[in-house]
Amino acid sequence: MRDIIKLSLTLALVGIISASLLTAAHNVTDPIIQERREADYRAALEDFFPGFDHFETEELDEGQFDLIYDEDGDLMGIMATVAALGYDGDIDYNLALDSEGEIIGVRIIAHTETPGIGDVIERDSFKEQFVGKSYEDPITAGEDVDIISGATVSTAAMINSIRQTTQVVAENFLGVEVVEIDIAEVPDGTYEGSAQGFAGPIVVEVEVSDGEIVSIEVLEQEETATYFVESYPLIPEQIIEEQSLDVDTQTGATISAEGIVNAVENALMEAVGIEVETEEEPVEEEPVDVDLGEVPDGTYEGSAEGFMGPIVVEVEVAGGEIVSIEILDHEETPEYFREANPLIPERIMEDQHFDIDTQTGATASAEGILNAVLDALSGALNNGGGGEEN
Amino acid sequence: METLLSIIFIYIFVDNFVLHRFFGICPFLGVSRKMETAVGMSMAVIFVMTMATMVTWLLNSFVLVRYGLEYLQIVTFILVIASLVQLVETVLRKISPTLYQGLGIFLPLITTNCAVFAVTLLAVRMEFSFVEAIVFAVAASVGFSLALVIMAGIRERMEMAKIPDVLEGSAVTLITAGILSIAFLGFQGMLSL
Amino acid sequence: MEQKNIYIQDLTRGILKENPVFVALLGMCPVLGVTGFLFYGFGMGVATTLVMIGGALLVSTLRNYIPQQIRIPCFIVIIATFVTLVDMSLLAYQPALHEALGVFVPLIVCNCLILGRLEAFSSKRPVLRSVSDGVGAGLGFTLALVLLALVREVFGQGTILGPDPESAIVLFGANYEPIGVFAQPAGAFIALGLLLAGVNLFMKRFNI
Repeated sequence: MRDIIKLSLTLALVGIISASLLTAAHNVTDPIIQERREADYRAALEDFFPGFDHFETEELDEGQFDLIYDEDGDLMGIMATVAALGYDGDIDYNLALDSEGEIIGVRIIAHTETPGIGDVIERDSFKEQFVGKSYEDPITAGEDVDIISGATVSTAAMINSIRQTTQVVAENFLGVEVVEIDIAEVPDGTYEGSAQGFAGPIVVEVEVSDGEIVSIEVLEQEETATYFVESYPLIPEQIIEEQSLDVDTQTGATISAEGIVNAVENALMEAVGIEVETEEEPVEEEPVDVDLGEVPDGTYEGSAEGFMGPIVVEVEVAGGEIVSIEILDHEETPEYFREANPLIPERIMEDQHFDIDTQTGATASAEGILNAVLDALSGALNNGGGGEEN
Repeated sequence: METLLSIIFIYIFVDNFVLHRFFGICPFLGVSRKMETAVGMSMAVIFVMTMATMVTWLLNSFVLVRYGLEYLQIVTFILVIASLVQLVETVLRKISPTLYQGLGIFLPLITTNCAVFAVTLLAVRMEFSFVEAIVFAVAASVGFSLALVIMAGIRERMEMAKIPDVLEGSAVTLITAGILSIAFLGFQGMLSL
Repeated sequence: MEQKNIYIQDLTRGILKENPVFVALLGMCPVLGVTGFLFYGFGMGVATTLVMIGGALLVSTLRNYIPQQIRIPCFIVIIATFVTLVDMSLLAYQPALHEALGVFVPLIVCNCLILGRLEAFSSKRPVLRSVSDGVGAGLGFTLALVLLALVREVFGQGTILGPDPESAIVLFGANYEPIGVFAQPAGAFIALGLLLAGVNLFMKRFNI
């Protein structure tokens, strides 16, 4: 018995000595650790916001947002500390934005992506492609930023998270209006909308009746089938059940789920007459109606924006009728452009007016051709009927 | 519920403690020669890991965190594991001599099994709730056992195989473990918390 | 002269002849877990060596005062204390390394190499001999880590002295696509297996 007491006391003594030693060490190192953390963060801030003076921290559900101010108290920008759900856990990173909402830089803090594969997110070439983008840009894989093949999940996760963060910052700190949709105000009908999913656009058809969403159908998608089943039909069902777009998108396929929600949102926005921001197409100009009868005979050149760049056409008018339309120059993707040319010129010549159906496999190119033709003809009229005859 | 199920799947297959996180390599190489010992070790590890995680989790939340003593985690946790192992050994010897004969010899080895220590530490660092921590401990230990038992099965077959001189012993065991790890790589990315 | 020889023997024994990793297969978890980069492997080796030396020093000093029955718990507390000290100092002065080594720093506690040497050697020998034994075992451990890390970084990343881009030396030019498997867990096992085979061959050839 005495033995046991003696032993326990000895062990306790060893424990106490160890604990007090560690406490002393803790008191020495802790302030250094705190100071160093702060210094690290300030150094990162200095990188992105040279000459900043102080910052204020705001916590949102999405993460921590520091509003950076200069000496005069003017807002220089925002440093967001957020996490993206990568391939293997969270990717913690800083996103620095200026006061206009443009991205200054990306800084990866910590991640657990597969070494040799997912860690390409740390490459400068990947991070730099975001610089200069803002909430007004699509920030969408394949459009204005690239995913890295071999590490699609990690890089796509970063891209999507960065897009969301720019929007969160714009809405919360830069006073950009967010349009809320009141489903009750949507007139009855069937609406189509599309949004970016994980692998491509998701197109949905939404049916509204008596101020309620009664059905949501996915018309087109390019998602991986095995993942897509996790969000479809689950997400549409939730939207219909709750009659709200504020559903939980944390499924096994979060990005697809968000794509569906955004597509439905876009469909409804269009239904209530709000211009959808994410659409690439330029705001449609006032329909130029050209009276063909007034166009003097001749050959005219005109151009308009297509999907990838300007489309230049040459239009020949004879006897108040368009007799030929030739595409002189374009930058469209050949396999898409095929769907619009020569179909659209043929339709215009057939109908001899411009109210034709541009819904083809390449609507943007089709409208580009149409607008280019209109441009050519209205140019002909504005030049006092003279035109640029060849 | 969903979280618990993902924890189970992740720590048995995706984030396997031995083959992906490199915890508990010593027993993995040391006792995987025979199926019998592998199973015995597995049982002992499942038992101790779960018990240890319960105790350390409670200790951490109600003592260390409350009094701002998190920096004593390493010392307290390893002491808890060591005493727990001792306690289990004594109790087992008194209550169930048969079970003691089966598990007894493995118990002292567990103190230096870093998988056990890693589980208690990670359960706290990953901010699991009490129930999640227990499920995590069970899943991690089952994942450990799975790797151990598979390895033992392979090594029993390899006894008979002709192996180049220089590769004999640990070298070939490690290469086998590597191939096993590649197989488990297939689970990567299926789920994450 | 005689006296000196003993210390040198104690020191060198751990480095080659009784190398903790290649011969005794002790402390394998960090060997596999942190050797993705040379810098990490070296850091881990140094951290372990420091704990080893501290433990050896204290255990052999106190060897006559620690009761036989509770020596193991006492050793563990001593080791854990040094590990915590190393953990704190790393966090304060080498944050990047601390982040990269992660949970493997506290896991030094469970390194059976340390407990094994303390129990088998330091608890029975005078201070100086214990310390030289500790230094030797630590150096041997570091040597193994560095060798494996070198193989894994060169093939798995195509660099040396990474991952910090400022110090990293790209070895094979920009067009080299690294052998990803070496950077991954599976590659750690395979690389160590091959390295062991190499060491076996070496030892056989030179009859060590």
